[in-house]
Amino acid sequence: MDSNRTQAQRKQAVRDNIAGWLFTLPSTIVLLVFTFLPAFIVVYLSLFDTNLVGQMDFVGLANFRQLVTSGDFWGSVFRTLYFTVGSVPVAVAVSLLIAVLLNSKVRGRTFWRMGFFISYITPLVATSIIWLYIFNPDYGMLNAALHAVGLPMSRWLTDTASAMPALILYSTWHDVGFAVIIFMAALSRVPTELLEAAQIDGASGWKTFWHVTWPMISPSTYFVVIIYTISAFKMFTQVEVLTQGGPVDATTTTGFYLYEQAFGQMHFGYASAVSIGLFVIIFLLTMLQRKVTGSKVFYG
Amino acid sequence: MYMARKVLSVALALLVAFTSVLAVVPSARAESITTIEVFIGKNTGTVNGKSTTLEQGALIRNGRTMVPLRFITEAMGATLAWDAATKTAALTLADNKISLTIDKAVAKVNGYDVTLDAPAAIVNSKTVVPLRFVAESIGANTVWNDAQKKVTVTFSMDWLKNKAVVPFWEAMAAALGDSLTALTKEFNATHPSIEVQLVQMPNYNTLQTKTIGAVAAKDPPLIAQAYENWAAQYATGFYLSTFDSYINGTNGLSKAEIADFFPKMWDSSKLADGKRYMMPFNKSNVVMYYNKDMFKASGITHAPTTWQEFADDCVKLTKTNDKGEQTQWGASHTPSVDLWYGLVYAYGGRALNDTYDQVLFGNNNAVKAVTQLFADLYTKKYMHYTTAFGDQSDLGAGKAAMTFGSVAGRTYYEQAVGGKFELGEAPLPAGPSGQAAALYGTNIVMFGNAPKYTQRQKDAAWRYIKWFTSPHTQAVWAAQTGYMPARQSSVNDPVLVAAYAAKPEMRSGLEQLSGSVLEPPTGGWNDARSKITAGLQNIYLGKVSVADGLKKMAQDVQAVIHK
Amino acid sequence: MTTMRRSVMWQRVNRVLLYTAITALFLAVVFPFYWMIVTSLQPQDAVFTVPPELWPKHPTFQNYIDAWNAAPWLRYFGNTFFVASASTLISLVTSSLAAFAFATINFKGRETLFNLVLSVMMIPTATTLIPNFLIIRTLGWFDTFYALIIPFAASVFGIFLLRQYFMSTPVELWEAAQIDGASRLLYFRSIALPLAKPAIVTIAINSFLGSWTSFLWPTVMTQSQDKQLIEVALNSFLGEKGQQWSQLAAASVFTTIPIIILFFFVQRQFIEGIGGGGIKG
Repeated sequence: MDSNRTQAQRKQAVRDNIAGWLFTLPSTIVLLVFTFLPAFIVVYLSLFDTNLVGQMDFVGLANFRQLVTSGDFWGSVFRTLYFTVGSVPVAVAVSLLIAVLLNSKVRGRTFWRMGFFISYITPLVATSIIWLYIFNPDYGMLNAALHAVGLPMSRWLTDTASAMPALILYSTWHDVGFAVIIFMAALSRVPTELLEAAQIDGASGWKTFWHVTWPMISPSTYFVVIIYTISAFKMFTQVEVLTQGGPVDATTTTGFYLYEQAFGQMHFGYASAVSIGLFVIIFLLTMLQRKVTGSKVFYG
Repeated sequence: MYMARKVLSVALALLVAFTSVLAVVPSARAESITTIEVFIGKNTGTVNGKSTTLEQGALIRNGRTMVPLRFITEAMGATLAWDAATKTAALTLADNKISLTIDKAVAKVNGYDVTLDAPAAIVNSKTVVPLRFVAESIGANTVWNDAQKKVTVTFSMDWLKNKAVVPFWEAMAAALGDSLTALTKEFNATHPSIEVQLVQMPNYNTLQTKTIGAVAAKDPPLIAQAYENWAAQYATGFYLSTFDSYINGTNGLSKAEIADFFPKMWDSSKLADGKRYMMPFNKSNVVMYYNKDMFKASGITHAPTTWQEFADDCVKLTKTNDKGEQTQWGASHTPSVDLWYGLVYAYGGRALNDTYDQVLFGNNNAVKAVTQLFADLYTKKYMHYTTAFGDQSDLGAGKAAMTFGSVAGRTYYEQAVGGKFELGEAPLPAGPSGQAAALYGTNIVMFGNAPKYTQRQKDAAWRYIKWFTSPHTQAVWAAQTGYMPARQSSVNDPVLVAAYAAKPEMRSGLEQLSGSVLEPPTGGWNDARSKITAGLQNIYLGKVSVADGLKKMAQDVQAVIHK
Repeated sequence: MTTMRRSVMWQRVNRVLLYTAITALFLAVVFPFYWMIVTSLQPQDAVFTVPPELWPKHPTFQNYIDAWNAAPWLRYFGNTFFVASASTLISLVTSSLAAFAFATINFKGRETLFNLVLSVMMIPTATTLIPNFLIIRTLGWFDTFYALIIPFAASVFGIFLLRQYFMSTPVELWEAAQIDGASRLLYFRSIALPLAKPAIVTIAINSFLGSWTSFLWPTVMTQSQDKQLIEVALNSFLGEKGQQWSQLAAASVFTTIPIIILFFFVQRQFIEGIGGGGIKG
């Protein structure tokens, strides 16, 4: 083989190797130092009881024992799942509704689309602040509106029972625009001939949607669900601004719990164990999601 | 560990090489230092090792070393102007100006009044001035050697250009921040070789997490405000230093000065291990604020003096309109560990044992009674459940008649009220075992073991702390903010006398100080506080019965304090 | 005739329903912004009126002045703009270089390296916060702009997206360029990159927005006021102002405006970029 190669070809191969590695080097170094290396360090740290300065006591798997046996961690996982299950289906349903409405022949589509999308790009802290006021149980707009129409009021962010629903409401409001865009793009790709054919066959609008459109856009639905679930597990900003994990621990999601243990309590070793727990859960969820959604996805 | 470090360092080295960015460290310049020595009762001294004759020997007046004005001016290289008409001497060195008038206790430094223990005087027709005051006001250092009866002054012009920087992290917002800023500005102006840099955090929560982050990053501020349990947490790292060497040092505190601190506050600045990691800084306790107009309207003549009376007043002050909607609450309050902790004492109970490692409230009648009292008021809507500073809005908006807050919250409550009605402040009501409020407010801690800080900076920090906790500064601080002064003699300072005369209710905090209780100065208490908050919230919101809630709370707290 | 009329009428009813539904949803989404502006114009006392005033009776701009003067916002904007631009620029350079190599250069270990890079996506950033804090500290980058820029100087998403583009660039173009004597870098710069412009715009917007709205990372990695980014600063302002809703709303308005202006300029590319992302996902 080798003898068949010309000198020039061999030279070219060497040059390709050098160029390839040089071109990828900057990215690789950054990813190595700030993503791969940390993944190892976090495992190392999880074996210690440490405040990162002075105290560094090897404790073996004690942090993991605490993780598994203490209710705090599982509670945070449960609350994260509660948030996900509470927000993702709503977000998908609402955004799909908006996208379908906008996809019918509406005038001023760009305008509507921008309006629905704008909350998604506005920063979390700024919008959380106004929602904090809207949610205020005594002086807020939401209770005033409920009161005006005769519905029962709520303590929203200040009650353990309603804090998570309030957080879900805010997050859904903030993020819904993203899915609207995805669904609009997906809907515009559904071939009109298919829809017309279904209508000629006498299928109702609902039936057409369910049997034609829904399967056609399922890859996008899948995509939206994944993105929203992952962001639920990473969620931190709105929790910090709206509730600081409270009241009591009603909104202490795993992402927030991790931060609180590390930078609120100086339990950096235990927080590292929480990081690993969080990683495992996200990993399992991704796998599970792939399995469950995978079979129903329409790959046209 | 070693392997991990090696891998890390190689990777990091690569990264540094790749980005090729490194801060340039400025090289240290050589300082030329002037050293002056004087001996009490002798008219010879030395300047830079050379013997000099003083026209009048150094002497002690009112505990202060006095030296001839001409000698110290010349030795330090300052210029002197004498106004014979007013008998005022003006010293100028670089941009700093000091003026002293014969027999006048108030001198001026860069425009600020400074009160002297011993004013300038004429002795044997020579003008003598307090050495430490003059030297330090011009940026010098003084050290007293008791054995040799010697004062050593060291000074460098370089210190005026390269000031000893003292980063101070604090969380004094609004009016409190204005006062701290003004006082610190005064300190910096009257101590020209020092620059205390205030770094204001928006609230205590941020201050704590930022400080933890900075400690963990090995980059702590030199001094910071801290609660006792925070200090205990910080002390687990190795940067926190104790104040003992400064207190006992040559520029320390005398026995009389130490005795002048309110004993409760002085005691609260020690951790459980008995080490003094803190100095009292802004001490407060919880008092009651109330709407006097509402009291009058409901025919109540005075603030409640017992908790039972408080509960009765709450009922009287709760109002509903004709539609049956509640328009006014008796009280509005955000569940607070501090109020609860004090109340437990007022009812004759204890939350933890004396070594702070055993919970005593799982099934304790005093604790039960206290918690039940508040739970009833909350669940029956006589008291409004709020979060954060919602109670201020409620009081200000005229929706609640009473609330509880720190003595230093006064400016906030005044702002919320905005003159719409007459605001009242009163000591907390008493329980069966008397009156007890948790001592609140923070201390100052020093991260003196952090290698980035020089001895000069640490000495400067101590000087600032000493100055800030001195009787006059504490009087000004208390008058402007509502905090309790840390020093007993501050109460006689004209500034505070005037402030208390104008608003007698500002004394509420001091009035209940003798009964105040200290919260556990342990790191575990920090965790425990969040568990107690959580437990109280659950009980007050009626999610769980008082008995069950306290049982659960006791378990949770026990789990975090035994460590 | 009647059926025709009925169907026309039916269609009209349908359209009315459609617009009503859209408008209702639209108002629900946009209302908080309206409320933000109204609140920002209210005198402080008015925000505690029950029920709230839907329209300010005594509008005032004082809140904007007070909020603006309460903190060095200009500095925060400058910091945020600098950090966002720098990390965007650097990550564009690094990821386009890497993507180009992955797409067009046949070098040893290419597949392994590419899979390695892709696997980074499996490690959520939240889980590496603590070790990264340690790394930043070891580098001496705590409380510096490096800590806010360099860790974001590579983008797996960027590499992935650009690689797709470069792979779809016809091979003939490269061959032709070689005949013309062009070097690899010249080809990269003058032919491959311009062709990938839509992808670059998408990546740039993503990266810029990501830095602009970042919160947890700068909260942990910086401490001094002169390094603060806008979101962190706004949260501090909230911590300081508590319930002074009118000033808080004013600050929310002026910190949001730059991002909305930016959005107006790039909204088409951005929305299309996201919509396109859906297919690839």
